[in-house]
Amino acid sequence: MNDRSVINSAAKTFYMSAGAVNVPIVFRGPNGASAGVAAQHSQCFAAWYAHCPGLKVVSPYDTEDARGLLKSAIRDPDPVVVLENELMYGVAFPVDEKVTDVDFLVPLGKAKIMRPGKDITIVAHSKAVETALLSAAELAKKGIEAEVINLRSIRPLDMQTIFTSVRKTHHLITVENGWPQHGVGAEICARFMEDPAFFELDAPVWRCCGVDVPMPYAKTLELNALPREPDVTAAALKVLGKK
Amino acid sequence: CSTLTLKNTFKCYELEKGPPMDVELSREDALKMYTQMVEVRRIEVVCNNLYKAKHIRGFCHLYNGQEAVAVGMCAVLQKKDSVITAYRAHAWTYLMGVSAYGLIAELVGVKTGCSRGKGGSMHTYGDNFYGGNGIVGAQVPLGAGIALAHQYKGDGGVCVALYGDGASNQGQVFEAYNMAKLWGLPCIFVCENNHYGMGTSIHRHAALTDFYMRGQYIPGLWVDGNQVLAVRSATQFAIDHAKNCGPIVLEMSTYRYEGHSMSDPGTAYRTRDEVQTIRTKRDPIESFRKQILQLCLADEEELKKIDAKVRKDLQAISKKILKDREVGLDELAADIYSKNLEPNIRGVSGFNLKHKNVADVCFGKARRTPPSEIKDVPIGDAAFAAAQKKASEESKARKAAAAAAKGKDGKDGKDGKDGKPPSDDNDKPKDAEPKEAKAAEPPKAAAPPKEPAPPKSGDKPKS
Repeated sequence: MNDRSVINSAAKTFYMSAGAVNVPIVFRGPNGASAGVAAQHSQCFAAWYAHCPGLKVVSPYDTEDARGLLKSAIRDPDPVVVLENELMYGVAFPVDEKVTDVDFLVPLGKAKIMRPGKDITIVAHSKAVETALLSAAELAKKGIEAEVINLRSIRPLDMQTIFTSVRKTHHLITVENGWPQHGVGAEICARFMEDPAFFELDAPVWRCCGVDVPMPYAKTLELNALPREPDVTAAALKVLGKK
Repeated sequence: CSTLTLKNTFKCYELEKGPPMDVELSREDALKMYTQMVEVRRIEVVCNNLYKAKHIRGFCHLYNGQEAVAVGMCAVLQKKDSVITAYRAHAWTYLMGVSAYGLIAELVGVKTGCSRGKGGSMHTYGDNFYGGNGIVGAQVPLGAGIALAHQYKGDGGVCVALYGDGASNQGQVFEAYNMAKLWGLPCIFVCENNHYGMGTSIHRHAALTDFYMRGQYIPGLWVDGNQVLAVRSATQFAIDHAKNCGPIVLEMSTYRYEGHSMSDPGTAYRTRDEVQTIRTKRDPIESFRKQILQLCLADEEELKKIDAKVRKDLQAISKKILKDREVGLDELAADIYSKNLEPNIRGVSGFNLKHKNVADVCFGKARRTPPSEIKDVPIGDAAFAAAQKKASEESKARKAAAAAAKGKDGKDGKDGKDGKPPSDDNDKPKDAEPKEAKAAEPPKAAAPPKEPAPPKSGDKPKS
């Protein structure tokens, strides 16, 4: 399966046929940087696919997301791309009883507040949610309460949840492991420019992204090519005007 | 020099005649190929150990068992020929001229690696060696493109594009076949059939397991890829074919002893007996050793000495590499572009990195093609302008000749001036060399292609 099939066949057919032919298909697979596999096997496709009208794109972080989003994707009448993080395959999360229910679903296009807070909003998806949560824990030590939002869906993007959060916190940073240019964070910034929620911001929005380079193989370079907790914490402090 | 008759080594598809069955082997060639095979296997043993000791991370695909293919092919390739392969690239990298040190260091991820530790196991490059490629089958159309370059430049070289039996099912392989045949490209498609594509035997993944027939309209040759002399003979045959008649598909029937990569123990989809049988009956190194001894080209003692020396050398290398360091963090944003247009590269949180070009010093020698050597091939508007200029010059010359013949002045056609492409002087750095400025002008009519050298015409075989 290649991108031509996903975009030109799956994404556009419903529109081109004026609604006559829908494409209820799910594309799922590993996404994002793995460890030690260099440039050709380490990149995030969230922004690539989310760019295309006709596709729905989800990016689960934990077990609950993975199960609920995949089930919703299968039940959805449109093409859905499920971007699973390769490094998260082996990570177990405790789950609620209800998650194991056959009809447990996570709605497409809805974000989840992973940790409530009142001082700054941190938006992330996939493995970057972990980075955001670690950073929130670090900020908590300094008396800063960060609200962490797990996007879950990249398209549609649940801006209402982010706007609501920012009306409370007035500060926003985005965290992603993908590249910065035309990325998920860039889209969130643009949406703020186009919405009255812009006036709720007390400081510019800031992005923490993968470094704008192909993924290197060498270990120290690889470590430094993705945002880590101290990077996010520093960005949060900067946005809040604290040291 | 001894003559040897090969048996059961070739099967032809759409070919009138296969390679000669009688091959000659000199003592010098025998020892060289033997040494190379031993080296290549020893490199993989070292890599295997370094991987298990966690010095090599990520992907690592070993070549053990397939040595005869790379060694036999490189024995007849010449300096002007190119090679591109998939991710099982260590042997090819070494045989195409990267030192064992540079290769193993790359896998370890240190600065002395042939890609400065930035590429890892699958991404190694050398002169006329266009890499290890990590995407299954992606190197095959690239190989056809390299063959097109050989044809276009008329340099008499051929391109060897290698892929595994698994990748042979990729759609892009057939697209490459099509264009290569259509344009008669000097391309040798080589399917290294090791009988298993990532945990799947050929009978479970391929509808037609005669990989040498899969070019359909491209002639093919099945070769016993565990016999280095058969491989060498077939390759010489394929080179001649590619130069004179266009593409050919070679199927090198071989076997890999190890798993697909390091995460695959290689025992789940085949029996241990099967591996053991091949090891004892068809091992490329062992069988070549026997041939050498039979032909009395060297004695047992001599070959043992080679084994011992290779083992010792590589052990020393692997020890030394572990003392090397990774490149500094300043190289995280190095060599993203050959000609970078924005000095600041975005780091994790802001534009705080500087782009840098270190390619110049890789391998301790210049890597980038100096501007003076770049053959400026006009494209787009520039190509149109160059064609116009050429046509106008020709018509001018014709008219002048006609006028001279008639003894009166003919009216000149347009002069070449309006055929010039728009000047791009402003884009040039101030220190641009005059040569570079000259190169920007539409070039003269393409130089006549060099006479393709006949094979074995005194060109030194590679390494």
